[in-house]
Amino acid sequence: MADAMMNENDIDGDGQIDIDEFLEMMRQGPPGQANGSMLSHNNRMSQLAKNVLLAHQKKVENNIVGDDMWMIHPMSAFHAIWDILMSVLIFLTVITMPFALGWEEFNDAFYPMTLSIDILFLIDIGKNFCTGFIDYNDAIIMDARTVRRNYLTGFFLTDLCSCIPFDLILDKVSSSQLWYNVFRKIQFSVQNQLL
Amino acid sequence: MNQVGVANTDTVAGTKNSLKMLKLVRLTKLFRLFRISRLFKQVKKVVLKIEEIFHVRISDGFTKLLRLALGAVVLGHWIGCFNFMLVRLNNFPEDSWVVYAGLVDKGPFTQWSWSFFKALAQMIMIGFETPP
Repeated sequence: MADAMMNENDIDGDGQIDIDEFLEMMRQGPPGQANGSMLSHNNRMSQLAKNVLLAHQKKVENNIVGDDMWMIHPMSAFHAIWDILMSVLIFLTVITMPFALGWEEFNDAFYPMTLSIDILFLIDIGKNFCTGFIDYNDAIIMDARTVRRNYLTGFFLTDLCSCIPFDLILDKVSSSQLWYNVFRKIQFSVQNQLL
Repeated sequence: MNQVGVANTDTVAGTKNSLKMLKLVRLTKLFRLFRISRLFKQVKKVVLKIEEIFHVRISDGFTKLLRLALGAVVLGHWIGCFNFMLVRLNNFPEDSWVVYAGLVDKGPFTQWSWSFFKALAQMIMIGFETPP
């Protein structure tokens, strides 16, 4: 039905419904049966809204700025699958991390998973540097310099902070007894001064 | 002399506790949650596809409701885990809710479910009596 409507109303035949065509369409009213019930009219309106949306999407897809074709298109299937995978991993982190904080005995069980998720997120940072984005004008920016600047001023710091395994580093540092001794010396001196 | 000894053990315990507290730097991983908006973009696309295939209309409120419910459950999980973690870092004091409820020797799942329940009860403001 959508295609039929598209053919019917697409006057200049560019695969989109322009504002003039849209107005013409509204002037005509429901096609075919003139005694269209309220339900079919509603259905038609929803189809219409969908067509406008599809036309918009098509317009977006045709509006690419930049010519770095090695970059990943933000509407490709790979990007969608990767995003969903990353979201699942985010949920895993968000649920297991407080669990490991509250119950120390799970730390060892979660250790390989945490480390591999961290590595995957480091790869994700690299991927974000070569993925185009959709800007506020609905254009797809595929220019490497702009993408880089956009990511660096946006989510880069957040991503990097969440990727570095601070706890492992601190474990390595504190297991060398250096920090333990420094801590004790500081606390002793403070207490001696207080006494 | 006695006082010095007491001060000594206190200091050692304090140092160990602060080393335990250093594990809290893992909380930086929660920054990842800012990126969850990517998931909802994809969910929106999937909803559009479903609408197109089955000729139904799914309200935008559906996605919003899903997001709200997920957020509430995750927040409850965090609050419960933090409640338990605070008690554990203080080595289960006599007047904590974990001891009152007799959960010290139970398995982790029992402890977790009680913590979760306590957090949810606190979130709807009925759960301030002890034992939980």
